[in-house]
Amino acid sequence: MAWIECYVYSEGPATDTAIAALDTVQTFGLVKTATPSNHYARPAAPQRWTDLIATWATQLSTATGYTVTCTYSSTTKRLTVAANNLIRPLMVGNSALFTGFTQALAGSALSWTADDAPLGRVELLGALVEPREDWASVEMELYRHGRARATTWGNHQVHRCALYMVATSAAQFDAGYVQAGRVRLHQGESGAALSAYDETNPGGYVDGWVIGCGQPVEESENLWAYPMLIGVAR
Amino acid sequence: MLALSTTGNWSLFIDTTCDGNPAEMYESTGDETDAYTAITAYVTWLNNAARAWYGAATFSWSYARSDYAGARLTLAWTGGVNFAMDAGGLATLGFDADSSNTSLTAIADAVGTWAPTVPLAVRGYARSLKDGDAESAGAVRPGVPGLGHRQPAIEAIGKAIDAARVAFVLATAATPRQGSVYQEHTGDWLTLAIGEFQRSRQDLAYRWTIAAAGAPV
Repeated sequence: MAWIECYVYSEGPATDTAIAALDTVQTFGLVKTATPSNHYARPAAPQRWTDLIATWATQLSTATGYTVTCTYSSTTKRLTVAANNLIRPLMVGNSALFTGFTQALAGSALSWTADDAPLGRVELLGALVEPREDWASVEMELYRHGRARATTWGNHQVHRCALYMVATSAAQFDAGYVQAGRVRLHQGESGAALSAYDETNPGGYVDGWVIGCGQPVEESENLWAYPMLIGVAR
Repeated sequence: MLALSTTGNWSLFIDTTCDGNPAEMYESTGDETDAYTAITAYVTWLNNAARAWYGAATFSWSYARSDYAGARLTLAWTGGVNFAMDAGGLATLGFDADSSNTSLTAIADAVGTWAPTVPLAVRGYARSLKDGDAESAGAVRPGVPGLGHRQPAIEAIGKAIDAARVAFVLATAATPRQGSVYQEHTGDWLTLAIGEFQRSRQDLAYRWTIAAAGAPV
């Protein structure tokens, strides 16, 4: 299956028990319920969804002294946070919406699975990714004596894409985290799709910036298609 | 095949030995900034009467489309003499250090080259003068047909890998954009200003319509 995931912004790590000044979806909190004490994790720089949850796990393990894991299942579309001691996820900013957890959680447990699908990663039925096109402006000038000059301007290339998904995924998609800014669009889960797109691997994943996302079209019952234009610096 | 002039470093220093003679160093002039002009200049140097091996071997070059829609160059020679080069052309022409008695084939695609599945079709490469007293080639009809523009129609057909390659190549193109285009039906190389690439798709195939004009300045 194909999927699309967003990058989240960050400009410095959380310092264990303190929330850094900028805290939105990139910060994740954990309560050591035995103590109790609050601990926070945040990447030092922008990261995409898959790397982000791995960073949370690493930083929270260091901060709490527990062994913390953050795993996502593409089958159930749920994020699970677990540890070898009792914990409780602590939602910071909009992270409940972003991760799929409930905002105000109570109690303690070794493992917590989100109630809803996250907004940072959306599972797709398929993704049509057209090979990269040069997005240059070319001015062809014709001079006397039959001479010509093709002056070009441009600094990026584009992929024309179509994303196909079921209605529940469309609800995640419409939240906007994967409709703007930097995203990574995976065309599949095996073979060439596991490597980055390049001139020898047009089936690879595309890592770029959303230039535009068109109006959705309901192709058939419960099947939605979104046109998207993704730009890549050249 | 399209050999675009690119922004990369095209300075070539190829240490060459042939037929047991002392090694000679090929040095490009700096004017060759696409694969066609670069390999042509090298072959011209190899065949020059000033070379110690002049008369023992005659060199020529050819190309073949690679799996990734680039052009893989081959250098061949007559006479059955031993020829060796160092890796001075690896970064541009794709030739690694190697030796042979008959031919050497590059191990990488030449920089800036595009060889689509269906080779480029170049039509209408003729001088054209527009109607009227004033036209783009000059305010007054020149009366010298040789000064009219050439604006050939270039088309190509290919697959996704061809599309991926051409975008990669265009990203490295120098500006003003120009290149050498091989015209299949005449066997000629044309040096042209390369304009806009328009791509359309039908099923799994892509068609390109490429704006071009000559001669570039």
